[in-house]
Amino acid sequence: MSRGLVTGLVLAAVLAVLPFVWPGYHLSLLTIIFYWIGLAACWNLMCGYTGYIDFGSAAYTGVGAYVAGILMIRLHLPLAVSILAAGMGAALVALAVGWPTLRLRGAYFAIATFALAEALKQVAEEWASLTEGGIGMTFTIRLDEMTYYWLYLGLSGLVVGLTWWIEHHKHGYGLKAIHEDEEAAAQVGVGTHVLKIKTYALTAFFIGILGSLEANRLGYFKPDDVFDVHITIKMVIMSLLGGMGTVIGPVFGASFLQIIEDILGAEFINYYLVIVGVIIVVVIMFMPNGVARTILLRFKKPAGAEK
Amino acid sequence: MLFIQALTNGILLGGIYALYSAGFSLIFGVMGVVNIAHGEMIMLGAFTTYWLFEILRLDPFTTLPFSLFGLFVLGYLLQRFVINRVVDAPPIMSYIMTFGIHLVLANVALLAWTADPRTITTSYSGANFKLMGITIPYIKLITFLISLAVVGGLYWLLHHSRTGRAIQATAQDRRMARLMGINVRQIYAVTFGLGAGITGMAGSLVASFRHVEPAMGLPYTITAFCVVVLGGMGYIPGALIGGLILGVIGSVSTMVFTSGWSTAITFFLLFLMLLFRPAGITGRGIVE
Repeated sequence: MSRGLVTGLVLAAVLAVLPFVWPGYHLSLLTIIFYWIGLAACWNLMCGYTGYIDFGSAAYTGVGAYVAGILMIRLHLPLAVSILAAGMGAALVALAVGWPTLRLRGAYFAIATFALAEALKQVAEEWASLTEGGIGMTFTIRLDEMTYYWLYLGLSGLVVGLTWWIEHHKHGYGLKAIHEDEEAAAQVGVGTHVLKIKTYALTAFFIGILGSLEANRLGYFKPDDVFDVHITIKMVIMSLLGGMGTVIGPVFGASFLQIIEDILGAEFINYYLVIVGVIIVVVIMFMPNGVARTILLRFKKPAGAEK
Repeated sequence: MLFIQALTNGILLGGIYALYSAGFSLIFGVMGVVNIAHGEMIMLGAFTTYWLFEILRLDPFTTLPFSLFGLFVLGYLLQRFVINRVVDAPPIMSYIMTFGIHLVLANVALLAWTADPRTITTSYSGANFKLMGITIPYIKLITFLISLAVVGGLYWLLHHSRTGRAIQATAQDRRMARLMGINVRQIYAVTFGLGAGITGMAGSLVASFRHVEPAMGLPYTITAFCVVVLGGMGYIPGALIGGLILGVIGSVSTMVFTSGWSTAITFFLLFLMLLFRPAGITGRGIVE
């Protein structure tokens, strides 16, 4: 067994028992952190690697929440089935949106996804006979708090692991080739369109599952909560801070931002968004490779300068 | 009759759609920048008019030069000192950057002016005349005419002035333009200023008949994108065609369903366009 795998297993075991050592308030903070690591890792897998920017990822947390909500509350299906269906529902929407837009310039994809989340929010508001509209839906069946933590830990580990696996396989080379030069990638035989769509649907699947679980964990949701544009904003900035197109970037970015948010608290939400906006602009201007990677490169340079 | 009324409303609305989408199309056509902060230019234009009306009692229509100038300066500075830094980077960088600018502008406005929706009420607000049984509000008609004039003016400027031709040359081939002695970065800043300026004017016009609030920008960004995709990305006359079509569709679908559904219908239309005719109805959009 390789050293990396051993380290990974030990880390996973430590994280899994962490809530026992550190229960209460810290459990909810840890739960939230792993939820966001999962989401940011999904966004990074699609957008960080291909360079197609999704500004409407909240569409998939929303679709996930509503599919699970409708199946569980209206049709009384079991939780596990509903959550899986939520993931598939999100993946189907991603296929439908990705098919026409991923053929075009990234600009079309960026705004089409941006508009999608808003349009779906409107549909959820208006179609009250199915979704209860602005009143929202309440889950009667929930899981144990500890279970949510383990699920998020497992899911975020899975997505980060998947990113690592993809990075080291043909699929990943294809994605990076799309990022570098899509035309050239197509020339040398990368099925760029299908590859992008596959990746997009896969990440939407996980976002749908995470979104439905989070709605279930909180117990109550309405269109404004699950289609909130700030969900997308956080996914973008977490990937950006950690470094887009890196395996470990979203883990750093999500942990950092979530802890900052926890300290600043909800009272400063408007200041928080201004600060986040400024951080985005400054990072893009001065550290386009992401904060984590820029700092890492600086440390690495003396050892063996690459360029 | 009701249908003809909705049609008229749609056409009148289409003019303003065209105006606030023209700037979006211009900026994309020349620099390839998708300005996610576009709606904030409308919001700032609307607030310019609101405050000039509130404090100095200026008529909303006389405030147009102020929002044009104010947003031209803001747009120019943003491009000159911020966005120009990423113009040569992969396009995704500029999307994320304008996304950051969107967050800053919208939330600073929220801190400064609170979330309260505000309205401008003049002596002629709500006044209208009837033409063959169709009600036409004065404000909407004037807005429509000014919008057409400004879009026409922009088109004229791009084709007949020295700066306009430099902008077009830069859009067609940046490196060649540079070889011909055009200061490309300067042209970019002027283009962004121009785009922001006319969008600010659209904001001033919107303020005369709609709520003014810090969060108003986002839906406008989305509508502008739909308009521009309909007419062809980067093709200015396309904004006019797309604007009129979307205005009519929005107005008629609001009559048949509710306004909530009309957003969904707009998006569905956008989806169909991207699927079957991404270069727009005119077929002259930039697709790549």
